[in-house]
Amino acid sequence: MAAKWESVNVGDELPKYVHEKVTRTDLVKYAGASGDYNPMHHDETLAKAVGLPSVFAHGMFSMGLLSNVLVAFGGAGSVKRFDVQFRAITWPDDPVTCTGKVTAKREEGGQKLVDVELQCETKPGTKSIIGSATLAL
Amino acid sequence: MAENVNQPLVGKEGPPSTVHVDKSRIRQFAKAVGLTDPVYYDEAAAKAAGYPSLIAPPTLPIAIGQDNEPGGGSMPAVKYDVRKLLHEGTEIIYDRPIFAGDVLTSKGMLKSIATREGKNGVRTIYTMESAFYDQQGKRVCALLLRISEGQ
Repeated sequence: MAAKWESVNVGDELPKYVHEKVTRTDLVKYAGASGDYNPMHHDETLAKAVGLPSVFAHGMFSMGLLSNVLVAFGGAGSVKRFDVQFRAITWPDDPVTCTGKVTAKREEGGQKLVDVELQCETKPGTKSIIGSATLAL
Repeated sequence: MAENVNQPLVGKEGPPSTVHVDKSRIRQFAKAVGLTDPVYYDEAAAKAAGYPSLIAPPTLPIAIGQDNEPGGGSMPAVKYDVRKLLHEGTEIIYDRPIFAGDVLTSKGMLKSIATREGKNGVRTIYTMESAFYDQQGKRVCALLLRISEGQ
């Protein structure tokens, strides 16, 4: 059930979403679903040839995982704004832990809005994404 | 520093393109990012939630450019070396949710080219801006993408 604006408080945590381990299959699935065929995300031979240890995840794959936190909290149609910065590369075998916290609630133009801060963490202490969003509840 | 070869593209809107938002794409994309709510898969569940059809996952707008009708392609043809690219950031602003059955027109441009000092030298930052409009010309969502290229 989506959160009710009236009962949301600043500081509330959003439901955590954990992707246990990024696999190369995840990346191929995301490539196909998104149309992003940058070879650095699926062609291990090419990635190694340019000095990388392996392929790495699309930033937008992680942003997609992070969207789970928003829709679990506010519902599928609640997202008004979703803004992220990619801070570290996500590699195969990394776990991705997506979390969020309410930073403000306000009414604007007849809409009941909640602002949240967001992050994805891969290895403990490594934030791959920091971001924010506004949800209409 | 030599002028970036993409400089002439800055500020020029490409030709608009049309996208038919499709249930198959929504299901495939939702599955790829781990969304499990039936409103992304099951028409009856979507309608029970008050939506006209399946709802698009929040980050789908970045991806549906691949479904452009022939002749479209609103994102500018920026030339860069894919081996040196990193995605710096994305912002999505929704005026309303996107649903299966929507026919959207997108317009986009390379908004700016900048540079910043990174850990391993100077990176070039490309900022791309685009927006989707419905058949009445009302904006549905706007996107900002920042991509950087190393040396």
